[in-house]
Amino acid sequence: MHKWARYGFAALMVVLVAAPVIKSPADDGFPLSTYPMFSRARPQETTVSSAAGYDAAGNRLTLSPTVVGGTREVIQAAGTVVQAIGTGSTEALCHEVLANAADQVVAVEIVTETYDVIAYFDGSEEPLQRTVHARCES
Amino acid sequence: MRDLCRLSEEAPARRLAVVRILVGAYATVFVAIRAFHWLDLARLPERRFEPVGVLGSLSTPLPSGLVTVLSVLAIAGAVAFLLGWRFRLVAPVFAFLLLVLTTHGNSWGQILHTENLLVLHVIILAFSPADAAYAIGRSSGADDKPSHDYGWALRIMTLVVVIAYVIAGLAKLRNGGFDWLTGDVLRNQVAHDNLRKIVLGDVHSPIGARLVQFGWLFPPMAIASVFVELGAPIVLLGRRWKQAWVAAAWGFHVGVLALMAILFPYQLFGIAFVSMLPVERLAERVTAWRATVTGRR
Repeated sequence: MHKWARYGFAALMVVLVAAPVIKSPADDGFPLSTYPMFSRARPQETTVSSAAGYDAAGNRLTLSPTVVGGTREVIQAAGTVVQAIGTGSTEALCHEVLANAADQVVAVEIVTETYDVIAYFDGSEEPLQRTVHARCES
Repeated sequence: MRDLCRLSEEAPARRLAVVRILVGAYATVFVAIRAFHWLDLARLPERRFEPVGVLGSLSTPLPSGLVTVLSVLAIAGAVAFLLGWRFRLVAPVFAFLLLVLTTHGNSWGQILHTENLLVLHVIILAFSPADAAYAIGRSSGADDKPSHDYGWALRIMTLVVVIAYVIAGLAKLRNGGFDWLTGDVLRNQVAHDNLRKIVLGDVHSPIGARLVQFGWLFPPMAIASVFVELGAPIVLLGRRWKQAWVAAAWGFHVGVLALMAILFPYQLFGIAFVSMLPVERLAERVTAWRATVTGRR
């Protein structure tokens, strides 16, 4: 590559990779990123959204990422639930998860639970608050 | 100070070639494993598709058949990239395939930050003379003399790493403010991430879960994290600075793994940092080892 073409390519790459710094950290992209991971000012009380399965006796069952998000990635499954809540498609997601789940799962809830995350690891494992966005049964 | 502003540096052809081999080996394994994830995503309902980056203008996801074909081509391209085979032609094509597949994979409501540097590094190497040594089907015409002809690409790879870490550090201060440095934000982040993993049935870090009970541990960890990220430009000061920062950054990722069970494989295997190190010595060691083995016979 010619010397000036090299410098042009180098300058272009540097400008492109640095450009996200002027955007809001929430305005993320790929592969040019604002790298917002771990940066959010999380309070001690935070919410976790998930899909919860229940057997016939009402016991809560953990559903695999493949059942919830369609891939083996847990973070993708979590993102799928958050995305459904954000777009108002929790009913559709609930039925999809129920259809994908094992036979012993007779009900699914798309929920957001609020926890005191420090107290949780000190033995207080019950959520402080629970919002059910959708519930579906077989 | 002049060094800080340079877009190029001198390096031997063999260093750039070894960087190509290391990044190519990582990319080959990555693409072969990640293809299954890309295929799973391509079968998801269309409503979940939220295109980003170069695919931002797509209204529908790529058909799963096309993702399959592109994935197979990407695996073949990664092997050719690793070997340096017809590099000037194959490497840009592989870089394009990797960009498209990873962007498509990140267009389903969840952007992962473990793939950015790999993609950017492959793009830079693809337009460099990284096949000037140790390439299949090409005689090495390069001498061992350090030159800007080979060093410029390594310099840009390093600059990309530096910028990424600085942006990550700034994001923490912009989002979390001073509280990020006092440790509460980091402590809550570690607790939240482990709790979320437990709720979602994932492997969590028992170390992180235990340590969140000791709040005084987190301010030093938070300050050290931001120090490593915002301190990344020191690698532009010279070799010893590079080595010191690479060790600190690697330790930072070990800490993330230990506290939150989050794996940044490109960084933890050290590949993200190879442009900063005299990796041609690896090839010298392999050559010396082969000579010893051949001599014994």
